[in-house]
Amino acid sequence: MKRVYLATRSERAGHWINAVGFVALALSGFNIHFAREFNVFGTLPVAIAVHDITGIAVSINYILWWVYTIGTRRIQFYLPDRNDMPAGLILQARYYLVGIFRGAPHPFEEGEKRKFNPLQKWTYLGVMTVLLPIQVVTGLGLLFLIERWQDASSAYLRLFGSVHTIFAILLTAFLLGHVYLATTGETPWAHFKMMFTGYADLHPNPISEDQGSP
Amino acid sequence: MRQAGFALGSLLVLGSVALGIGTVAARMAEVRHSPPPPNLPPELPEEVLACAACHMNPGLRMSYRDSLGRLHQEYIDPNAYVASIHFRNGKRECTDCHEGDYSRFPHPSDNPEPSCLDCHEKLEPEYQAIDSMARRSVHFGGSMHGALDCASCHSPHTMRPAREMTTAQKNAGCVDCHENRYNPTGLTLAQRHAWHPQAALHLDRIACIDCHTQPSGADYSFRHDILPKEEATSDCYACHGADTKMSAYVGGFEGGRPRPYSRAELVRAYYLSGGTRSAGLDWAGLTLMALVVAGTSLHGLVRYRFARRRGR
Repeated sequence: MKRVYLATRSERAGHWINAVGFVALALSGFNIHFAREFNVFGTLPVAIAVHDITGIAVSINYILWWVYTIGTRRIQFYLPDRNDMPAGLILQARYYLVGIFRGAPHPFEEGEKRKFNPLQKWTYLGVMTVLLPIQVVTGLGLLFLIERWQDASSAYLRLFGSVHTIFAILLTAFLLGHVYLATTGETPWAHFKMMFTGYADLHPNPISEDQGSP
Repeated sequence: MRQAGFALGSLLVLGSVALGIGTVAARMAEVRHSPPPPNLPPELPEEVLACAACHMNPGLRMSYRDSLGRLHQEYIDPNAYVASIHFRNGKRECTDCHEGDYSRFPHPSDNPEPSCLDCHEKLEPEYQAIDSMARRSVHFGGSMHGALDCASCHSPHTMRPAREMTTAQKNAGCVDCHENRYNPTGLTLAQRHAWHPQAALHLDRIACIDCHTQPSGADYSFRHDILPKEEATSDCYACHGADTKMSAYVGGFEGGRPRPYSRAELVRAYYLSGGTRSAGLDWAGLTLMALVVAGTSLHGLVRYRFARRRGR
């Protein structure tokens, strides 16, 4: 068995700040959106304060992620290579739909050169380049520009509010799927453990990271 | 001798009775001439002071509960009395409105009750409009039928034009009864509105009738058809947004406001994040999340079953 260092301390810190932030934002966002039906924070001002403060914290965290990931060149782990698209995606999807039930090995084992499977790369890249920036921009807009949007039409409000809602739904769906897929490691807790310690335990595998391409 | 004894006895009895009556009369005279309570406003005319001894005495606060369980208070706040529109317009003495015998205690129950229309004949059309609306109110249904009149909510002793009143003063008509005088549930208003995510703020800032009446095209300032609580507004977005009840309706209730809220004012001061939400989008989003939860749960369940079959 081999141990490989997959997530640096900064990545893990950023990840868990995001994780707590996402959950707080999702709960408080739901509270604000469904103020009567989902009043988990008790009163609306509390939910709004939690949402505003957490939103700003996650926005800063998001910018720091780019600075760190570009600065350390760890962005390479996220960039799909020629094998990832579309063949690797199909292989990974087939694994989740068929192989996983038969106890087949993961088609793409983590290693020094590979941190993510193709599906993860595309998903995380999509979250970091599309979902989050749009959510951050519309969120900050709703927070800081609302005073300027007091024009008669309130069209900006509708636009930003609707987009923020759509992407909140997508991010929540991502969060749910992400937490579930995190249980598909060697053991249900393996990926969670890795995200705390930074180390993943590698087992001898018919298709290793080097042979990962189909 | 016998006759003399009888005469003496009768004299004694009569004397006792006379003494008793005299004592009671003297006590009553004392009541009538007892000094008025201190700190009465100087505008109060001399003629009121005899009544004020009881009815403006904050230490006395006479009250009684009627057959419906409502508490009637016979106390009149002297400062509110001199500030009332009736006092300012010349109805300064109690007997300007109250006819009948007030020399006996307790006052005879058949003393005539003054009515608004005794003086305000010109307001007959408005009175009729309000009366027909008020008859649709919860206050006139069931056990309350016919039990309330104008003065039950709008005390003629303290009434002022709406434009001079704060929202809290307007709400006092509702709050006084539903918190203190007639409160079968025993719950406070805050407790009864606890379902509201912003109960304290709304109880503090807006008029009760903002939610407990609905617009129907009539002159809003005359709405008296207070609805049952099931028909009161309970949807946040019925008010919080452009072209809602708030822009068209609620704004008209606020003290001294010449016009309803503009859309700009609504957006600036009363925007709620859900105000522009779309029900279709909400359902689509909730459906997507439900599908994700269902899909992952099913996947996990099948995965677990297969893993057990493999003996892992």
